[in-house]
Amino acid sequence: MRSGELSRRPTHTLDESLLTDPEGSDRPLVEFLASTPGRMAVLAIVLVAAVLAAGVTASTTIADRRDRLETLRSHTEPLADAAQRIYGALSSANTAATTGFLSGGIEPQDVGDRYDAAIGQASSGLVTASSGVAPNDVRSLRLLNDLSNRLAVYTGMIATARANNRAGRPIGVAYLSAASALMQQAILPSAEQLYRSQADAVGSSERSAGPSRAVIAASVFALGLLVLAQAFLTRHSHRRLNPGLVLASVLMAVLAAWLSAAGVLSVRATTDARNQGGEPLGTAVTARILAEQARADEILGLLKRGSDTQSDKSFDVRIAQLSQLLDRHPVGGAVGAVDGWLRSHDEIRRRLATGDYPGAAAVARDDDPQHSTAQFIRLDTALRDEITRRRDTERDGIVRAYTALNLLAPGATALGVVAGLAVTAGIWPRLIEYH
Amino acid sequence: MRTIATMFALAAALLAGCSNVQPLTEVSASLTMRPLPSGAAVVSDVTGAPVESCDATASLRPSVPGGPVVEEIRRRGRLIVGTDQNTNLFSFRDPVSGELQGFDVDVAHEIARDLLGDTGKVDFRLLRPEERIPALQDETVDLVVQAMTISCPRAEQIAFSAVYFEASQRLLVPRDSPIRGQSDLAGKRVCSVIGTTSLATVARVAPTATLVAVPNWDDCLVVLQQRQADAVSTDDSILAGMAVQDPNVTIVGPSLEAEPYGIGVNKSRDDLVRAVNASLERIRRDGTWMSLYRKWLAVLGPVPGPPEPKYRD
Repeated sequence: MRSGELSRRPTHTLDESLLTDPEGSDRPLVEFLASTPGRMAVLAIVLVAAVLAAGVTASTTIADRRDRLETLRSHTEPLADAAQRIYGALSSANTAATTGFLSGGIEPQDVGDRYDAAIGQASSGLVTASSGVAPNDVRSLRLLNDLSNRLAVYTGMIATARANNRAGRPIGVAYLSAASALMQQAILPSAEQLYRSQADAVGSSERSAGPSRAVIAASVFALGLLVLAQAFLTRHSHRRLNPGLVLASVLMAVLAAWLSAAGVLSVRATTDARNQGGEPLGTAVTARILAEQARADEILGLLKRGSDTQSDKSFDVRIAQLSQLLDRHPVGGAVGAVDGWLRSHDEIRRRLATGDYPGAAAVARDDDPQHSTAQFIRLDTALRDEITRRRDTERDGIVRAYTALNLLAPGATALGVVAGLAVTAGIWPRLIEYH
Repeated sequence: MRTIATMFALAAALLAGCSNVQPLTEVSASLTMRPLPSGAAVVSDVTGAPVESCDATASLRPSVPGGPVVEEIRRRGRLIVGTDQNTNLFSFRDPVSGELQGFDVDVAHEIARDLLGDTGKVDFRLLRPEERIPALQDETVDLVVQAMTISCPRAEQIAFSAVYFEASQRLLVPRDSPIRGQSDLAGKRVCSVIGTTSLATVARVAPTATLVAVPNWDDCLVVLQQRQADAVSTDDSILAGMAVQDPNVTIVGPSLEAEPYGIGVNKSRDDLVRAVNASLERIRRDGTWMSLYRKWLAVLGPVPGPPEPKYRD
């Protein structure tokens, strides 16, 4: 019965003759709906529903986006940073351990301290990352598991290498070389996988940061309805503008404009975070790891001179890759340091070619600002600063994107509710006039 | 106030049947294993080395130093010697002092004493095994003193001095190992260096053994200490360099193959070969050889004396 009425309603409302038809009082609802006040009431309900819906859907989507940005800021990005720190700390631990052997039986205090600090950073990074990955992220958990297991094996091998070296046994260098191979061939690739997967998660969160077009379209649609309603009312009342509807229209226009502006700002902020932060950050991390490994290779090649071909070759390969990266993505001071380091490395090779092993070892070890140690530290510092700077840029972009959306979520609800009230307040007096 | 809130939260959680408690994820233990040294591999396609078919150990008769090459070295004032720094007891860098030392290094110093009148006038060049013969051929170095076995193929490319050390290929095993000779090697893992004649000899005498090939001799000791191999096989002189680094290993078994060491010289420099042989004659005669042996190689046990030289002219 009722459904029949409802389904017939559209044809009735379109029929103008029914408006003046005094008959049909046995069906009061249909009659009411067919009357001008009835149509006004329906219009009011539709309009209130439209503006409320526009406000609330905008609010929930924006709140969802904002929460995702908050998750990115407080969880996903710090997790990627922890993975980056694990990666960097492990490779500098290996460089420090290797450097210690250049000085003979006892490593210098500062080199030993650097090794201890790097192992500490790697361990804390592992704990931070383990507490951060999702419990169902089995792949990351397995990588973390492998990393902590192999880190224990690695430190054991380094301890064996040091004990033998102190006792004056040449096998110390063999253990050092095996530990370094474990680091470079098994541990660092796992750390890199972990870092890449977390950095990818950051990148994909950044890509989905803006409000969707559908939300903006909803508010524009509500605005359109309001304008049509205004036209309808102008025809049936003698006033030219209904202040309630005008206010509601303005509010919807504000909502649409706010959504668009916040959307543009937030998307631009996350694009900056990605293009000026995340992507160059990934390059700088790769460059730093290459530099660390090249330094370890330089020293191992010297320690095993006369019996090892691998370290020398891999030094050249890594430096070539590093130079390529720096060509594409220049880092202040890094290129100069690489050139200086290569000059120092050539000096080492020249000295070795003339049989001056102690001289070559000194060039690799001493504090001369033109020699390998100083140049490597310059390069490492430049890359570390770049990593810090790019990370700050990335976080800044994420925070800006968050701020752009921050007030919009409650704001959109408020706009929707106030617009709804304005519609009611605008149409109610017109409705009363018919009684 | 906070306690009450917590109790409410707990009650709510209990009412909800604890559905919001995340179960702890158990990560299964990964296998803890020490890796083989970098570049090490289990090899299966090594063809057993044939027994040497010629005798390349006969050298040129010594004469008083004075040919054109010796004159040139004297004008230069330095003797350039190729060696390496990772063959313990023969040529190695003492990790504590940073000095190059060993049996070969001392022999080189003795030759410098005879040629230049000063044991210190030696420049060492560090050579990888495959660089030794080219370095002699292009005269980058005057001599190669680097535990180098005299073999027929090598003798076609370079000249050798008279034999200055008789090594023999044997086995290094942990003290408690049941392996006492080549017949015990069946099915065991044996370590040697990639591309050496030692590896090929093991393949010949113990065809069922698994061969672990590593880049450096010290890597073999690492592999043995980590129980990744049951035995190491190479020249006893090199095994001695491992045995002195670990009191828990010992050299066992009869000789698998004789390894006569000679000093390498460019094939066209006959006067230098004769001068080196004269120097070797001197250190054999005046007791220097025996004192060097006692200084570096006592771990190999007593020897009656230095090897007897053979000359072909």
